[in-house]
Amino acid sequence: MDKGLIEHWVDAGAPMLGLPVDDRNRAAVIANLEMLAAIAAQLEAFELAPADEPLTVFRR
Amino acid sequence: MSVLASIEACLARIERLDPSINAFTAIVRDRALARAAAIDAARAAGTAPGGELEGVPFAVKNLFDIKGVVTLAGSRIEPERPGVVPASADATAVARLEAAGAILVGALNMDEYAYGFTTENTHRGPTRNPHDLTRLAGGSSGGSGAAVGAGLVPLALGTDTNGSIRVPASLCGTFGLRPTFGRLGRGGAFPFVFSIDTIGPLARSVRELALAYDAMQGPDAHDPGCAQRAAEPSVAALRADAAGNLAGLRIARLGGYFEEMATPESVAALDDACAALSGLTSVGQADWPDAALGRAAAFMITAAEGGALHLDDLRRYYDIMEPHSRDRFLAGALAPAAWVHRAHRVRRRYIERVDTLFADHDILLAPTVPGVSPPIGDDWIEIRGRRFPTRASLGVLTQPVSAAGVPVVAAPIARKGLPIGIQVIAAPWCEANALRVAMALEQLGVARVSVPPAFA
Repeated sequence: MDKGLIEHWVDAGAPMLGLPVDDRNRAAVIANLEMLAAIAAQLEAFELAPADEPLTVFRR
Repeated sequence: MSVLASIEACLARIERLDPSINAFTAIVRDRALARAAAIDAARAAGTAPGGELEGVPFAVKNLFDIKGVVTLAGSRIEPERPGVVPASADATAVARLEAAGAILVGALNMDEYAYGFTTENTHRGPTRNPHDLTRLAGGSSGGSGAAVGAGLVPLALGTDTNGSIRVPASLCGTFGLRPTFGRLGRGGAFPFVFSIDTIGPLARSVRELALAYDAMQGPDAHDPGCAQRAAEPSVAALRADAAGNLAGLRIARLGGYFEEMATPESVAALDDACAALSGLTSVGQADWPDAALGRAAAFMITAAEGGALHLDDLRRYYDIMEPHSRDRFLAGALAPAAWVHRAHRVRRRYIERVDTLFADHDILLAPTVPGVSPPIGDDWIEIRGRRFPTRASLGVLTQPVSAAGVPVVAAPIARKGLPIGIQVIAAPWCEANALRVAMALEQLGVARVSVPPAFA
């Protein structure tokens, strides 16, 4: 995912959630969200059918 | 020796030796001595219930509630939160161990809110590995691993979301059990990731591990994730000899991802274990399906659930949160819901695939950690020529297993140099099988806890 989009998401989303993202931590938060974006892409690549539910009850 | 004298000796040993490893964050001296005296009195009166855990000292990761003590969960926030009060009751696991006769002696250091594999706790200082004080104890149950590894207590409790019992157990050279998700009640244990969290014991022997596990089993009204399942005692399944413990079990070692993400010394520890078992039974080969995918799902769910759980803390107390993890929590809180929802759906399919492995195998063996403990403060570890961030990657081999919710025993493999452990993985609800194989390894002399000379 384009880093600019992640930066935009953080800059817009953090104030919406009331989260303190500013010069001291912005780069670190973006780096961590970039990592999550890469993981999201990995999960997107796994084919799922519409009927594939999440674990509705987290009990084994 | 009386129980009182034994507990006094344990407390004196902790006082003398703990400063070098920084495992304990609280000692409950008066409570421990009172319980010890009560057991002695009951024995004298012939009314003590007995049992192998009677009088055995134990300590708990400081996210477990201890009546009368403020639950820290590794943080500065909890003790400084406006209106904070000490816990009004013991956690379910603490109460059950004490009901079995064990004696709580204190609380142990951890990564803040359990988000980490290193126990480099900025507020309380890092917990040090008793086998090399310059190195990590692992985490997030690092105090638990170090306290048992140093022989300060024979038994400790930890929690394991992505490897937080198995990583410190392996780096500190102890046994550890992550049970099936839902098996042991988490009531009174500060949560991290509701859909993956488990609690479990670390111990100096498999028998003590099994005794503690059995004592904690059963439904827990304070944990909605705890299965309504009667206790299935594991100690009765343990046998006096290795052949007996291995009888009837189909065992295989995991290759692929689990060897690619391990250093040669970690693979060598697994080789030693498999070679020893091969003298008594056949050890096949198996491939865990989609390990990287399972880890990816767990990574996303962990970040998002953790971030959401601490959303208000991030808003109000960011400045006093752990610098090693607060930005990861922030990123998790900002993860789009679509990513997280997909991770849960993928995880469900992943679990179905993993479960098929157990049609042909009862036990799967794998390395626990990529290599031996890294130095405290090192930001990077190297695995087969590739660099990975230490704090996120020490669980690279444990996370795919816990994502599936299956039970695992971490067994310390006897070798020269720093400790390293292997994972003994069983099918869901078959903890006893994993304990039997770990005990066989112990009986064969391949797995054992070695207290370092400075702590002997």
